[in-house]
Amino acid sequence: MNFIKIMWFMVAKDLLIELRTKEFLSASLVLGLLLVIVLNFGMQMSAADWIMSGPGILWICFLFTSVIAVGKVFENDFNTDALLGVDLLGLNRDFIFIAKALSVFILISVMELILIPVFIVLLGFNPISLFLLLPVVLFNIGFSLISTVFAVVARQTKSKDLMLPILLLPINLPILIAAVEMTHIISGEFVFTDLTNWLVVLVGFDLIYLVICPWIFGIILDE
Amino acid sequence: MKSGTKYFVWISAVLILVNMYLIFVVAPPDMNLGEVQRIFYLHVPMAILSFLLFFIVAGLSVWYLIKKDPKIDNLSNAFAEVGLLCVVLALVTGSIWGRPVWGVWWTWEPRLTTTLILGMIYVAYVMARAYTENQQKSAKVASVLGIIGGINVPIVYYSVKLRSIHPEGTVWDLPSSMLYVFLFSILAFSVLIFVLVRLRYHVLETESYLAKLELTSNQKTLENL
Amino acid sequence: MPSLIINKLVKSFASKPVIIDASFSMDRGESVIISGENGSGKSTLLKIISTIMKPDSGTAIFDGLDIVNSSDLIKKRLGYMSHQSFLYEDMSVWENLNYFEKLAGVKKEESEITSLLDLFAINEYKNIKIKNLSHGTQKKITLCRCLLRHNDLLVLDEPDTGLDIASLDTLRRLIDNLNSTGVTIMVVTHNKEFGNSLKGRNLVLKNGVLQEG
Repeated sequence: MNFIKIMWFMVAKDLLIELRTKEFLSASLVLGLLLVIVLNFGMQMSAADWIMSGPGILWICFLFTSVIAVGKVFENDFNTDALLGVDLLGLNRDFIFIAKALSVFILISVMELILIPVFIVLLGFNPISLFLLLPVVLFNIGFSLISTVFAVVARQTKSKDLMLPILLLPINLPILIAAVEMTHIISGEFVFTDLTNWLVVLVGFDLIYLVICPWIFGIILDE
Repeated sequence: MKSGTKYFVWISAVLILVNMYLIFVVAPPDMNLGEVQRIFYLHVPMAILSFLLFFIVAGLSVWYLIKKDPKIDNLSNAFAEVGLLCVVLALVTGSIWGRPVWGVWWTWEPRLTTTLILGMIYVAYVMARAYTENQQKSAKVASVLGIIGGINVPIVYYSVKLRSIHPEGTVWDLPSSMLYVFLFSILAFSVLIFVLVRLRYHVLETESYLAKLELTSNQKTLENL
Repeated sequence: MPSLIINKLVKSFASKPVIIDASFSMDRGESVIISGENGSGKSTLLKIISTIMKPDSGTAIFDGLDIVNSSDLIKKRLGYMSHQSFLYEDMSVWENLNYFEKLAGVKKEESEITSLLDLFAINEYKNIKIKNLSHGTQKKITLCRCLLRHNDLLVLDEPDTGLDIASLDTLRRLIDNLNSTGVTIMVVTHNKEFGNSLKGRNLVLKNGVLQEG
């Protein structure tokens, strides 16, 4: 069964289920907005501080809603052991890994693309720039890779809903920092070379985990 | 306790006592910071060792995933638990040092921040083990965290460092009278850690052995039925 | 030449031994019915043979392939049914079966979905979501799922629970037909009547040991 076909079937299935239930997208939109509101009241900042903190708040909301996304994407697979059923067909585990990571990637990307215009209004960002796609895409890649592995890891524990954020948050800090800093830079006057250091962090992170995560996934999928 | 370990416990005790003497009596007070600076001889070795231990955990985790030997897992567990202790001590001594020197208990300076994050990963490692039911599963969960955590630490450090333009001194800038105490401190704490890991590993291996005995006895009971 | 040879399989969880000696062999196209009390380790045995779990010691060889070391190759020839449905609850019957069939590499012309649905008389539920179906119907679909492609080895963990009498008959006949085409089948069941009605050897897993029943 070739790689492209397997990707297509598996990802299409995840997206179909999400489109049908709309659980994740609607919940994450609401959660994202609530987080911004709560942070606003909790932090009591001046208008200028608010704008300065804009990128940070944006990415905190993205990180938290993304953690929920992972739970959602894998919920269907784990409820009835359906992912095990797929694995038992004898498919290459690397393919299964990439398909799941791609599903997470697409879902969180859609969620972010919807939330960005809303946040820009609420947080008083400068006009949108196409460069914003850089941190978004690179963050999403790294996050999807790591979270696919940790979703399976958390499943082995007694309270997977609790363990998943505890496992995911510290590990994703480097890409969070990089994404926030890049977004800061992009919101103002900048030259591309200002971004290079942070690009190194993001690309480095993504490349390292692109190699390691499929290997680990393949080993831990057994019961 | 095995006789080999007892021997090392004594050596460790002596080394630590000598170390304390060197730190509090022999080492000269710092020109700028005075006596308070002495905590540096506790703090920095702890911090260095906590990082080193985590890389060892990462290495053992890779080895475990390849070999699947429970002994390797127990060793990794022992290193991680002692590593967590080191990180906590590093952070606490760092705070104690920071208060009189910087005026604050905590600052988001790159090394401190990275150490805190390392600590969180250690905590996640220990929690993941506690939250997993059987040995095989908890070994797998912990190994994954050990590997990914281990790889992540340098990346975290690099990212946090990029954020601040904080100047750093290195230990090689120290005058020789202080440098020797510092190096001895590292030696003394390394031996202490070695002893602690060894003790902990023995406990874990004994637990595994007891579980095996229980299993064999249960098996025999079943066979006789 | 026996197609499935199990030799001294041992499996324990923490300090609890579950299987202490499982040894038997099966020829191609043979059926074996395994029974035993609750918690006797029947599901564990099936999971080991289906490559989901690894035994602590012992060997399991199917058609010359080691189940532990060549699990990738075994999986391509194996159909497994467990207590879990392995189905996606927010998708319909058709969507689920089509999904697994496509992933299994079955070509459209060779699709068995319609004939399987007809066999168990559940064609009318084709477009209904799994979560809206009764337990018994879900069970039938779980069974269909592991029959979507040709498997040389079929491992069924309590396929009879929740099935009505007509479906039990169908299942019986299906197992017979599959045996005659050379499919080796292992069935675990609590239902003595159903177990006795199947043509095949009876084995009992008692106190961790697999014995002739």
